[in-house]
Amino acid sequence: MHFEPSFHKRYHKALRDQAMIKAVKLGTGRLRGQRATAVEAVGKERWMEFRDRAEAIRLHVIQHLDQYLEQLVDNVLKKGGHVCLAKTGEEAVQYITSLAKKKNAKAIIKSKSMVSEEIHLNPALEKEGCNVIESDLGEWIIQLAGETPSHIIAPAMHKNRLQVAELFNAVSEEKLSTEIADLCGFARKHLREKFLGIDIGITGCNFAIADSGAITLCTNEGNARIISALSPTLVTIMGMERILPSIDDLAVMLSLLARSATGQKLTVYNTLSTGVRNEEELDGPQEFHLVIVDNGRSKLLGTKYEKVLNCIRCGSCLNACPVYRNIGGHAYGWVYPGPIGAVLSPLYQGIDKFGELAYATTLCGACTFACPVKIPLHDMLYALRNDKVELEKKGELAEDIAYKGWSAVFATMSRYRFSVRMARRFQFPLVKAGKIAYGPPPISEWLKHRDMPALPDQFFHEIWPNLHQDRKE
Amino acid sequence: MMGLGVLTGDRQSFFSGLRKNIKTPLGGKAKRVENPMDGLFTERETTAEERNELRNRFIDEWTTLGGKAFAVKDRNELVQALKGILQERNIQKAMRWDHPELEKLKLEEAFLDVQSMVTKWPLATTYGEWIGKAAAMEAGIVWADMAMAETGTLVLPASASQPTSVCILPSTLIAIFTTAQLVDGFSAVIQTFKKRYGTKLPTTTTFITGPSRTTDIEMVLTIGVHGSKYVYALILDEE
Repeated sequence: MHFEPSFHKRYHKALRDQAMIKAVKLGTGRLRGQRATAVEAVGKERWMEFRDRAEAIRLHVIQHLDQYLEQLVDNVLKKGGHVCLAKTGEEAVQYITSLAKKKNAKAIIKSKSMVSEEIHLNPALEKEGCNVIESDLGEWIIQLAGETPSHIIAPAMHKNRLQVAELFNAVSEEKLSTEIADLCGFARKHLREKFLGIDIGITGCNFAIADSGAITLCTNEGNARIISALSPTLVTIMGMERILPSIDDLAVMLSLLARSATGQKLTVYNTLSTGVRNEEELDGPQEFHLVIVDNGRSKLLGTKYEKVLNCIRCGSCLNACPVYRNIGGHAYGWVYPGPIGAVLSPLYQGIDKFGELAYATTLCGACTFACPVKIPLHDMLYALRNDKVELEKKGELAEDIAYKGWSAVFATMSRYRFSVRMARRFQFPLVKAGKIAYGPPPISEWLKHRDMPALPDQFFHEIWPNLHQDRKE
Repeated sequence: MMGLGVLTGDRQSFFSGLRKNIKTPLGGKAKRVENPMDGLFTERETTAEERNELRNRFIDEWTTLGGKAFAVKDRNELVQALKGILQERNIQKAMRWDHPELEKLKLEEAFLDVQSMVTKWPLATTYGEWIGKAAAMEAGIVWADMAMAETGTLVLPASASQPTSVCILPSTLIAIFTTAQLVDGFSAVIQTFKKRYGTKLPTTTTFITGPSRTTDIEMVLTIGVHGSKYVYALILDEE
């Protein structure tokens, strides 16, 4: 999917897509409501304890990431699994495409993996002649549409049933109805056939467990469960931060993840797998490859953005965000949408390319409050704005003069009063119907979308002496 | 004996890069949370009476999720309940785990009069042979290791005789367990796993909480997109 490079143009395009906005508002509203009900059922105090615990677990892991990753690598190797340590997305793609070539794999079935979107794995495999099929229903819909996910847990949130039926009809021999149950029935039948002829299965990783070398996959549909049971060769791609010390940490995280994401007590299928099957077992992979991807993550360690690596990809910050709810996911221009995307995209892809996303926020803090692992997302967005200004040094001289002037004028009462009186006297060419209607750039840009009242005939400090006198009397 | 896996990538450079970036914040690094589940989950030893309450809780949760759950008094009643399910769903082909408790039920004989054929795993010895047979099965019958009442969750560690394919491929899943296997939630499961396996976990453990579901089209809940459409839990009174 090609994205327009300007965020300004992307969100203007999104704002014109009323069908998308309606679908996103409906979807995020439902998910927000379900999460609120789940939190209510747990009890607000206990929920806060869950969040504190989860934050403590994640902070510890991130600050000891080297130790836990080493432990994981050793345990996976010990159990006969292969490990690829990929510093970049290209290295990960290279490893997986070489494996596909070596296995002469034609049928590759995937379950949802945000990292695979991040490293553009599908186009690379397709270039090698592989038929790559996404098996998560939402991911399959957007794959057929040639789009990227618009929501972390509901990738096709922006599509309605009519659009889905049109996409499915392109691969169906019979014309399908637009009933949702029929569309899901078709997906089951069509994808089941694909599962039965799988050469390589590719999954994401919700959490890796360091001390047992296990991988956890969470799906409501069961597609990742089927893939890991039926793939002769299984590849799991994980962002290197998606790791926990042990299974008791996992219990906390799984309980938080499902409630934060969809309001469920637990995801329907949670699979805890150590990779290669035993000699006596008939299902499960004969070959297991764990691809651990850095791709910009390690450079966040030890920085003010380190805590963003706590993320467990539940998507609750998206549902809470008033900006996301009004522009949807594609306006963010890369793989990760919403507040988490507005932080991750500039950090992974560069502030020069995605720094504008730091302004895709009202800084209301709803994202921070929604985050189950307490990432201070709105603080990070604010910090990114500073970094963007620092990086660009754009308009520095003009801004310096403006702020110094403002500071000099507002520093004493007499200068302040004199300046506002002058402004009142000379504002008349810019005023229309009681509002400032015109102004030089950059004020003109600001005024396009906002109202600024004209300065009044009497200032408060002018009427105050009389009011004060009246009160005394 | 399984061989060691192969590592690709420059391990030393990968980890030295990581170590170089990790900083110790003022006040030191965050400490390991020693008992992560403490105070968050119900922790107790249960009596038989309490487990009867857990059974009711499990049935409530499972039913809310869209499954069906029944309490059965003895093995005869259990077999009758199983027959009822096969008839209700018009199931002609079912597969089951090779599990000692399922063995005791003699299902192969019991199902003859409802014209359902149940086949014990393995269905065949090679992938090419068993996959076609497994794909044609309408139901999978398993004996759960544990069941979590607070969430309505089956805990199913796999082994050679108890593979995950039986729980995930057919559109109907029938899970049987006794009230003795019921626990409140994660706490008891994790403690049992730690005692039983240490860090040597089974190749796969599946936690199943209701039927396969999706809300990917217009946020409308639809059941059975990939895994089981119909899920049954039969809870036998403990002896």
